Amino acid sequence: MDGLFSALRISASGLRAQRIRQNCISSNLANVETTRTDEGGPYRRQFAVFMADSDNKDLALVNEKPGLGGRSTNKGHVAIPPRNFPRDERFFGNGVQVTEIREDSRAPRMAYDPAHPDSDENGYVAMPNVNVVEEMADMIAATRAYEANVTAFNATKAMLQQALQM
Amino acid sequence: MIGIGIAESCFCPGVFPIFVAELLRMSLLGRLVVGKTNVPTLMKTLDASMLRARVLANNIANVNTPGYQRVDVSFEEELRGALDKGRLRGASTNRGHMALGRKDVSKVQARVDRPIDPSQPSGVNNVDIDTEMAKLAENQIVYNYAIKFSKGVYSKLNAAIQAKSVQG
Repeated sequence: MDGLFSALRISASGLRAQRIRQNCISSNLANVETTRTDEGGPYRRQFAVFMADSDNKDLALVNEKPGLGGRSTNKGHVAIPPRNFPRDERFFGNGVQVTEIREDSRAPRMAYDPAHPDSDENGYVAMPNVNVVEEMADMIAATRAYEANVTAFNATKAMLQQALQM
Repeated sequence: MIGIGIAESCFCPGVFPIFVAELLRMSLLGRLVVGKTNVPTLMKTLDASMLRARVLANNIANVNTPGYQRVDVSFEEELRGALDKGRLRGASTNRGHMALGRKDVSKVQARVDRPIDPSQPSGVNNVDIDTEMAKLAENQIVYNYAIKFSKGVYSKLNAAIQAKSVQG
């Protein structure tokens, strides 16, 4: 990915990823007591899986040594351009992408509540495997990461505006 | 130099010489006007700064990605070497000559690399958000400085062309 606005697109991908993560956390908190789902059983904690979005072609360019360019001494020669010409474009990393929304495989939390309609013969109810404190900590991390991306976005925007005033 | 490269690799000799001559003339004129000023160095700095903005944005976007290794830009050391007048430079009077000694500023390129940190186990995300934010602020200041500086150079050139008094 190259061009003038690629830094903005990279920051935007970070914003999107953190927003999806925040949506998962909101969903987990909203369903902290949900015992019935379409799949049956209690609600399971959801989380987003992030993956660095990189271009393999760019990665190969970065890792390779700059090659020699061919010099044509005859009109019939086919030109071999010097490999190190657009060095500036040798960049890998297209931001971040959310590959999937996973469900937590941890066992459900068993709460004793014989009056509950979903309780088993011993009076225990399978509650969602959502830990509210864990979700809160995760939410703070997501918010901070989102803010960091906003700062990066604004920094790039200010730089581009400066360039226009040259 | 770009113009010569195009001329050699070209298969249709009819149209291109005019284009090449135009390119050459422009670059010669451009080199005469701004070549002796700080503008080429400043342009390199701006390029490197913009690349660094992309790299830092990428690091920040991947702050929560498992296994991501941070990326950095190396440019200043190479530029310092090219600007060090104490080092000798071989003059190339022929196209076949290889560059010798100190690099020309126009050959300095910002490079993207992954710094290897032996204190971190491999496979662990090594993005430190505070470091990245500090670098981001620093990079923005460097970029703004280069813009301001080149603005000043251009206004001085303009004043010289119009035979006016230099301001700023």
